[in-house]
Formats: sequence, C-alpha cells, structure tokens
Amino acid sequence: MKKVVPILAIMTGLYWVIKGYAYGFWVRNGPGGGFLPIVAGLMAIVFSLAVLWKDRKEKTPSDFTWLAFLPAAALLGMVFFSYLVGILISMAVYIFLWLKLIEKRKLSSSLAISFGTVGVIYGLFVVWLKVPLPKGLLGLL
Amino acid sequence: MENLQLLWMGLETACSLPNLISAFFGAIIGLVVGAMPGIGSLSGVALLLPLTFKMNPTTAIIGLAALYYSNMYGGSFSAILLNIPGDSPAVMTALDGYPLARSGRAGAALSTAICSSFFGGTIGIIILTISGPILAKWGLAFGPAELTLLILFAMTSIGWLLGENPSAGLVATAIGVMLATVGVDRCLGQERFSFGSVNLFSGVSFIPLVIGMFGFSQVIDMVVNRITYSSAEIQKVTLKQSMLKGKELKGITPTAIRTGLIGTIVGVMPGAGATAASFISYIMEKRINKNREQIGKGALEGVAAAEAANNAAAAGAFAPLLTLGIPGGGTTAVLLGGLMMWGLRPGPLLFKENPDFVWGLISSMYIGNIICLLISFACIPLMMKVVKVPSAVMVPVISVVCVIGTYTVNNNMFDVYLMIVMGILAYFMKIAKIPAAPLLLAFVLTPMFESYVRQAFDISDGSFGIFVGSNISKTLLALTVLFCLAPVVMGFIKKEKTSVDSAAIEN
Repeated sequence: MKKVVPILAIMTGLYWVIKGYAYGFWVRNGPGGGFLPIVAGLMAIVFSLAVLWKDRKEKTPSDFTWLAFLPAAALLGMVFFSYLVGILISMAVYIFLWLKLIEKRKLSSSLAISFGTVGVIYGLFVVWLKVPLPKGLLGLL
Repeated sequence: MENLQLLWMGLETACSLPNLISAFFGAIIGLVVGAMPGIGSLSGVALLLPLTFKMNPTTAIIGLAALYYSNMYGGSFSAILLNIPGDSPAVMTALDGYPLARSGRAGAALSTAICSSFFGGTIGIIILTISGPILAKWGLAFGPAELTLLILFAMTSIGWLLGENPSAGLVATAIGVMLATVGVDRCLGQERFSFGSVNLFSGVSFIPLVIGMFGFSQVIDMVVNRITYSSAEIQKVTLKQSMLKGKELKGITPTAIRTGLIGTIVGVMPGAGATAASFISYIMEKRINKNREQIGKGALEGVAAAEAANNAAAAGAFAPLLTLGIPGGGTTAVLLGGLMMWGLRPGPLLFKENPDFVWGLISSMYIGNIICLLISFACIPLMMKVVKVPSAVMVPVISVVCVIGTYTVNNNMFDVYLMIVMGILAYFMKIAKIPAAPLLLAFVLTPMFESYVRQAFDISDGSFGIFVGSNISKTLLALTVLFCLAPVVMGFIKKEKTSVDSAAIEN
C-alpha cells in the first residue's frame, strides 16, 4: 500500500504529459496551456520513480489498515441519506450511530453529543450565516 | 517612527469591538484545538475558514491568525500532561515537559510553556513590525521574473525541507501543481483536465482540498491510530501551583529570547515553519545552555526553547506572507488562500494599498498574544478537561464539521465528495511518507507562478535572459539550484564518509 501514491502519481503524470502536449507546450514566445502540466507530470514521474527506487529494499510492513475506509464509507452513507431526509437529520443520525455502534457509548451521551453538535451547526450555519442546507425529499413535503 | 505611527493606527483597527471579539474567540478556539491531541493549527484554520466568509476580511484574518498562534500555546498542554503533542511543533516540548509532569512539576512546566510562548511570540511580532515594511519596500523591486523565481524557490525548498526523503516532498509538489492546473486556464481561456465536468471548470476548489487533506485525514488517522490513555495519568494542576518562582523565570528568560530570535528567522524561511524552528532551537540549547545536561530529562529550559521558538516562528511566517505573498508553511498557505478569497492580494503593494488591514493585523497580534497569555493561565483547569476529550467523540463531530464546512462554500455536494477523496489521498500519502504540506503550497502558488512566468516571457519577448537580468534573479536562481543540489551532495558526502569509515574498520 506504500506504493499506491507513487504509482498513482506516475500514471497521472503520464496522462498530464500526454494531454499537456495537446494543449501546447510553447505558444507565441511563451508557455502554452500545456507547459505546467508537462513539467509537473514529468516531475511526478521522475520523483515517484525515485521514491519507489529508494523503498525497493524496505521490508517493514505498511501501516495500512482497511479501517481507514470506515470514516469515508460512513460519511458517504450520511451524504446519500441526506438526499432523503436532509443534511441536518442525517448528521444527527450519523453521529448517534457512530457513537452507539462503533464507539459503544451510552445512549444518553450519544444522543446528547449528536443533538448538541447538530444544534450548534444549525445555529451557526442556518441561523447566523443563512446557508440554505439541503433538506432532501423530506423538504418537498 | 513611521512604523510606530502606522502601528498606532492599526491598533485602533485592532481594538474595534468585532476585531477584539474575533481575536478573543480565535485565541480560545486555537488553544482548545491545539490542546486536543492530533488536531493541529492547519486543521483548525482549515475547518474554521468557511465560518469567516461573511466577515470583514480584517476581522476574519485577525481571528484566524489568533487561532494560529494560540494553537502553539495549546499544543504544549497535551505534550506536557499526556506526552502526546497536540501538534508537531510541540514534539520537542514533550521531551522535557512530560518528565517534569511525572516528577510532580506539571504546573511549572505549563507556566514555562505559556511564558516562553509569550516571549517568543512577542519577539516574532516585534521583528515582523520592523522588518515587514522593509521587506515590502524591497519586494517592490520584484518584477514578474523575480516573482517567478521566488515562487520556484519556495516550491523547491519546501519539498526539500519537509520529510526525510526530498523526492517525496517533490512528488507532493508535483501533485499540487497538477491539481492546480485543472480547470479553465485563466490567461489563455483554455479548458484543461476538467473531464467534461461542470464542477471542475473553475478548477479544484481550495476549501474541499484543504479540509479533506488536513481535516478529514485527521479523522481517518484518529480511527486508525487510537490514542489511548487513562484519565488517571493526568495530574490536577491549580493556577497557584503553576506560578513560576523568580529564579525559575530568570533562568528561562535568556533561553526564550535566544530561541525566539532563531524561531523568527526560521519562520520567515519558506517551508521551514514552527516544527523546524522548535527542533533547531532545542538542539542549539542542548549544546549551549548552562543546564544542558538536564535538557531532555526534564528541564524548564528545554520546554522554554521549544515553545518560544515555535511561537516566534508562527509570527515570523507572516512576514513573507504579507510582504511577498509567499506562505512560510501549510497554515499560512491556507491563510493566503483565505486572503485571496476575500479579494486581497498579499505582496509588496499590500502595505501601500491596504495599510488598515496590514497594520490592523500586526497590531492585533500584540493584543492577541496578551489575550493568549491570560487565557492560557486562566484556562489551565479547563484545558485539563479538554485534553481528556476522547478521540472517539471527536471523530464523528469533526467529520460532520468537515462536511458542512465544505458544503457551505459553494452549496454543492460535489465538493463534499472531493473532500472525502482528498482525505483518502492524504491518508495514502501519509502511508507512503509523502508530506502533504508541499502539495498545499504548490496548489496555492501555481496559479501565481503561471501568471508571472507568462508575464515575464511577454516582457522579454520569449527570451530566457530575463531570469538572469537582475541581481535578485541571480541570487534566487543560485539559491534554488543550491537547495536542489544540497541533498544530493550531502548524500554523496555521507556515502563517501561511510565507505571510508568501513574501510578503516576493516583495516
């Protein structure tokens, strides 16, 4: 997993170089739209290869764990749920479920933290900053 | 003298009620964020940036700046009480702070950290007050060619300075430049790398990138590396116990002044930042301090060195930001992004065109530093509770703050998805030991770089000679080459020395 970013950087760098060439490297006595993409792409390729070369003999296991995807998956779930019930309710549900199911906290403290946090967000963003937050399908009723 | 007059004028701006309130709340939030293990000034400023959009730019930046330097105060609390630095600049504080706390001197260690932070911060602000206008006048001599080279120097030096592996820093810089080239080219009107998505026409948004890489990635980190400690580990400290004796205060003052000066100089350098400042100052004190034998085992001088340096560096980092538009590190890069969003363009002309803003900010730093000192002492009992907030509670709360902070910028869910992707990218970068700060710096500086480089070629009619046309250009070019070659040369010398040593052992 240590190699994910260098490999991704090499692939992206290659794409940037190819597309950058199409945008034009040097146009009318100056850098074209492809100048920086080509330079950055080449940098990404060269230095990622250097990182991979340096780490080729390293045998220490990577710190990676699939647990790292849990917060992202939970947030995506919350965002999808917000299309149905709106963002504030989905946030309250997300905080409550995280505290209750994953952190195994008491029902009362989970409820207090979830409603407290959403209350502060409501006060700051809806009341003070007047930001129109998504209300989901529930808002159509 | 003129500076004093301007400072006085700025003081009037800083002392207006909204600005004082902003500095006060910024200082409190910074202290709390700094004390919480795992959340740094970068995450704090990134998460709070969306809240300031409806504020006056001066009020907003005063609050965020207060958050930044009060964060340095807060970082020492968890370092001393739990041996868990709240932020990377407090790593050196823990080396002496925690042994002091274990030996029943937590109060003295906390007081030393607070007083030294105040000394260091004040030194940094005084130097900023004096050097700011001089640097700004000097900056007026910078044309597009010099600015191009200055940005190039900043981007390459941060790559080398951060992380053990310079190549890793440059990979991050390259990714930052690539991300910055997404969207319509502002000079040529050409669409680049938007993959037909309307959301990417105006480029990768700054806020989702910052919140994802420095806010949400912290959440992932908290889930993966659970920080566990028992509440019993934390000693109870009262305000009375925290008061330093006259002899102790006398002992730490020269250390704080020395390291405050060094910290400011390091803070001014692009890419070095508060962490490097505290490391360098601590190592220096370990060599020259009268009490050097004790430093590392639990000496007040060790705490003073680290804390004075990191606060001075935080203040020093504002000098290149305000005068040349070049951020010294990650947090100042976020502040630069914020300034641009408020319609201000940091650079040599900022001192001329927006004196109210610049001097209001500098004056507010003096007031903010005093506020931090007072709040830090007053909040010692509260901070005991703050450092005990478990990461289990912080994970869902910070997650929703990341989502709402990202969404409210453009009222667009695409930004939220982008923020999540950036958070995952930052996590994988951490696994690969690729630092994220150079990416942010490159992302912020690339549009300026692209614009300056084109202006330079327009002026010179396509000739490269413009980049060696002035002494400033030549110096900057030489520095950039030096910074790029130094690690290679050092590595070669190290290799040679090792082979000579091993040959000597064999013989």
